[in-house]
Amino acid sequence: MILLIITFLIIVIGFSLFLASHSYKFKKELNKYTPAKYGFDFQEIKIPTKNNKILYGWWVPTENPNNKNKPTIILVHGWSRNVDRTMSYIKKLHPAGYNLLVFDSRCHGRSDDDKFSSMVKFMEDIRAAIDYSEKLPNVDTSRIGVLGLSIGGAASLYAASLDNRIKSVVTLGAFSHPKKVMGDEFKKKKIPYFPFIWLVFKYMEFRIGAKFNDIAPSKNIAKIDASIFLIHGIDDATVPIKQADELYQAGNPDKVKLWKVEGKGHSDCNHHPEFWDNVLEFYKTTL
Amino acid sequence: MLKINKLLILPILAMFLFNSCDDYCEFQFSEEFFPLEIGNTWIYSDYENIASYEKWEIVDTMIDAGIEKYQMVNSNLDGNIVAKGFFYFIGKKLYSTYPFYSEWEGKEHLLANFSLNKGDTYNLDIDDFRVIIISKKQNSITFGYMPNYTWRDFPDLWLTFEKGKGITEYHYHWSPGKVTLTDYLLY
Repeated sequence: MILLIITFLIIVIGFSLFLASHSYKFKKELNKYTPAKYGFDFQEIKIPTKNNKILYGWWVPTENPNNKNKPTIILVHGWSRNVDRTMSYIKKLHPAGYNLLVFDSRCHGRSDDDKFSSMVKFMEDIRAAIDYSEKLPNVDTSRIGVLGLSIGGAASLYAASLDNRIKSVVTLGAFSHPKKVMGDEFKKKKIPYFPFIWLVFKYMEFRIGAKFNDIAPSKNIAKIDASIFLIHGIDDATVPIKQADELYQAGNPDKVKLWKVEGKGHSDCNHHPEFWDNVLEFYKTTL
Repeated sequence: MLKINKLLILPILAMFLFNSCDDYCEFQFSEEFFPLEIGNTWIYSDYENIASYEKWEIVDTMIDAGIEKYQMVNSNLDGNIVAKGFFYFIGKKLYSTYPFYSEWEGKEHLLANFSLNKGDTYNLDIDDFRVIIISKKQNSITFGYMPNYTWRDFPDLWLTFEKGKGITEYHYHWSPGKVTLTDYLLY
């Protein structure tokens, strides 16, 4: 009987560990292009992180004939992506007069590997990018914005709740709570919450060194001083639209704006014809 | 009497089959969707920026295991080579070693299967990628390519093939600023 129980526990724990380590596994993809594709001047940069890893990135300064300090927007890609993902954003934001700082998060693209990637590491990388930007010429350090995609958006919200240097945040397809977005994924695969998913979550919390409730954007959004623009595709199958509603409801109504984009999913809101008018207007008034 | 009926029915049946071909007859000639011939040249640019100019040219051919493979060289405005790769057809399937993704460098993959229909998908043998047929019209077909990772529900790369022209546009992350065919010369 004891042997049976031990065997059962080994199977449950083993399967849960397998899920935790394989469900979000991806292969590093390297960027194929640079802002030079659009004829923009840029520099390749190396941003140090708090644990002495190096992030690969681009500094794309705005044209600055008057040599005045300009607002800066930090662009944050999503899970398993790299700086290539931000090219269409660079193309529109650069001519609008913003300095841009783009980077590959740890374990992504050309940046250093780490033991694992997580929303917390994305958040730390955003703050490392802000530290780096403050040393660059012609940066108005009182006007730092962030634009984050998916987990990059969730991490941007978490970063803004900890770092009041961030004045303006735009998110696309950000999730409200890590447990909800991962729970939905496991539900799709028909994996029962108890004991498997419960164990996966416990293991992940142990690994990242934080409780999901402490880092969840929905638990932190009310603390954010920055202006926030949540953009979310109504047809998003990865992060359902109800998570955008939860974020919006948890935030300060004077600070948070939500645009539910009709006919768009998780990764294509920027294809909506009104997307750039809305985003540029938001940054113009908040940054 | 029965024999006479058969003689009448068979030609009628054949005529029906010919007529039913309509829209997709052209797809029998898959090579038309990417004319592979030494010297054929395509010039692409992002319609908003001349700096994105790229030239694709078929420069060589080789026979490998009885299959004629065509080498494509992709260069930029300065003449610097951006990428190289081979393309070849087996029936309605277009295979390639061209690195549309950096991870595909040198790896043979089924770039396009022209016999599939809108919404169909297939997996690439390399790097756990999947391909979805985004649209199929009488003269064009669009394929979307994406890795099979969690939280990926939208292709990173789209390729549109047009009859008699080859690849007429591709998006790589930065749609709607897609790279489009601006000029071409077929031999």
